[in-house]
Amino acid sequence: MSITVLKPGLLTTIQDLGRTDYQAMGIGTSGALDLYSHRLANWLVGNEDNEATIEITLIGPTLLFQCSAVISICGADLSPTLNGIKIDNGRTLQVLNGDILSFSSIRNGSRAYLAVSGGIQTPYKFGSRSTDIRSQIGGHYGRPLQAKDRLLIPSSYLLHRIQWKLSPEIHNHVTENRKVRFTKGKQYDLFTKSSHQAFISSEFQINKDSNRMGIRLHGPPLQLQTKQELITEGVTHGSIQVPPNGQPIILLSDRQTTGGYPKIAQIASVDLPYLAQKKPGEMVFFEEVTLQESQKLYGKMNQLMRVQKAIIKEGLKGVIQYGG
Amino acid sequence: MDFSITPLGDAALMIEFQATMLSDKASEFVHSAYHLLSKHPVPGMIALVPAYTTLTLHYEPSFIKSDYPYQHMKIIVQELLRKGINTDTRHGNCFLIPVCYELPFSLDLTEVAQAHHLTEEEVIHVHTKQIYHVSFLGFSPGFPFLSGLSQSIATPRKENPRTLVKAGSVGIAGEQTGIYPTDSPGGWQIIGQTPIRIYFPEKKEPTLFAPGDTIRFYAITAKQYYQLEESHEYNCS
Repeated sequence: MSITVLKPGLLTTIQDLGRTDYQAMGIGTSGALDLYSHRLANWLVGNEDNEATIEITLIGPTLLFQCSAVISICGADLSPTLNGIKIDNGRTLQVLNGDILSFSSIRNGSRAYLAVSGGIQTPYKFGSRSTDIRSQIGGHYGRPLQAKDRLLIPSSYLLHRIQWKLSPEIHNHVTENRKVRFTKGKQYDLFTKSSHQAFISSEFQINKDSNRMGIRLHGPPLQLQTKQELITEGVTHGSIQVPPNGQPIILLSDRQTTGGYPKIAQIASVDLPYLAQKKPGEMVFFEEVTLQESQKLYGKMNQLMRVQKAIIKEGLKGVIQYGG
Repeated sequence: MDFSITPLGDAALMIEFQATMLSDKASEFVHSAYHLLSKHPVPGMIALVPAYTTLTLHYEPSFIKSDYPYQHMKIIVQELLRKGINTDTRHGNCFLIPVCYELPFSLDLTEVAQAHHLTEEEVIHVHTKQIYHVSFLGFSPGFPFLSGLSQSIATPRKENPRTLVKAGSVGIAGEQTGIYPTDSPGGWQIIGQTPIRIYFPEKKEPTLFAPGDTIRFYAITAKQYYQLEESHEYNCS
């Protein structure tokens, strides 16, 4: 029971919620960049949040299914087709042995998540299936997928066709254009007043050399009041570090566990999925919120997600069967 | 022991020990707090990341029943640390690590020497003379952050980080020195390279070093470097 990779796409990796327990050894978390779309895709095939999905970046892979499977795709719309026929994101779909899933042009967003019922069965490494490319662990041999790779999946099928799909507002973080909310970073006060001003009043462009480690931004240089070396300390998904060249870097899932550059800001967790869908060349604007606001926004999103999960669960009750 | 707790975004907080620079005392308190919190995990806590003078606690705000999870978490952590923190000295392993300080391995040795008006030989002498303590592992799997670097060769990071630093590279960043376990981007001043592997992703214990270990470097020639690199059985402990 497997999927064979015919074409790998630009950067296709196995991801789950990440590898949290080994950070004290310097092993990063990795994990899906857009955790929201990753979760939605899992729920649509009856999985729990932490099953491994395939994260697809800009140019999608071509995949051959060698068993029947229940699948869903969420996040970026990369024009998915099944045997050449257009399929929708945000749906629960049945694929059959011999079916070919491929992608073409980018309609919106940057990262799509392909989930299959039961999850992608690559081995766990340090408690997670997430691919950590730099450390070469997790996923499929610790690297992005290549042609001829075979991924084990459980065989599954739908008892009847699922007619409904997610309404667009549930995943509009992929399409909308708005400011990114942040809270002050740990070293915010070390930056000059004009840097504070520039940070909230300028637009920053996403560089081409952005990757799963971080989004590199280009804009007015942000400067410290006095040049100084910091002692290395912890960082998080969403820390905005500023190296001496003044160009900020937003740390993402493949970030290191610690860093030594001053952090001007922290992205509000609620906006991380939105950022994960931005493409190189696009512009980012920032807007400050208080920590309490940031946590309230996150709490609200979580509540909505819990409701969403319950609705999807109800809609799929007893419909997905394994084996066969 | 004085410590402060500050937010690190909306899903982590940082416990910072008020110690000057890279004193071993601060490191001891970090390790003590790390062990205390590992033994008595606070509800909502998902990971602990020790560093020189700080311990970062990652948490899941939605697991905490409060409309201001950070405040809630801060109070609990504060109380726990006030009651329970004490420094226990840990006995670590001792490692002798060969380093080739010659080109093509010592990319920034000249720059470091010039910054301090020293000769390259003097920099190597200072770097190999010292015994270093593994304060913590971070930045990448098994990367040892070593305290004890002499002020006389402390050098700021590079203005523009390299997109690729080779595995085994030995670097300096401010008053820190360390070894890159894998090929990765990095901004440290590279003064040499070791042929020793310090990270084993295939093993259950994936890192050579642990916090509390001590390390001393010794200089080898490029020829010795290649010989050691070839001998897979080379035992470094």
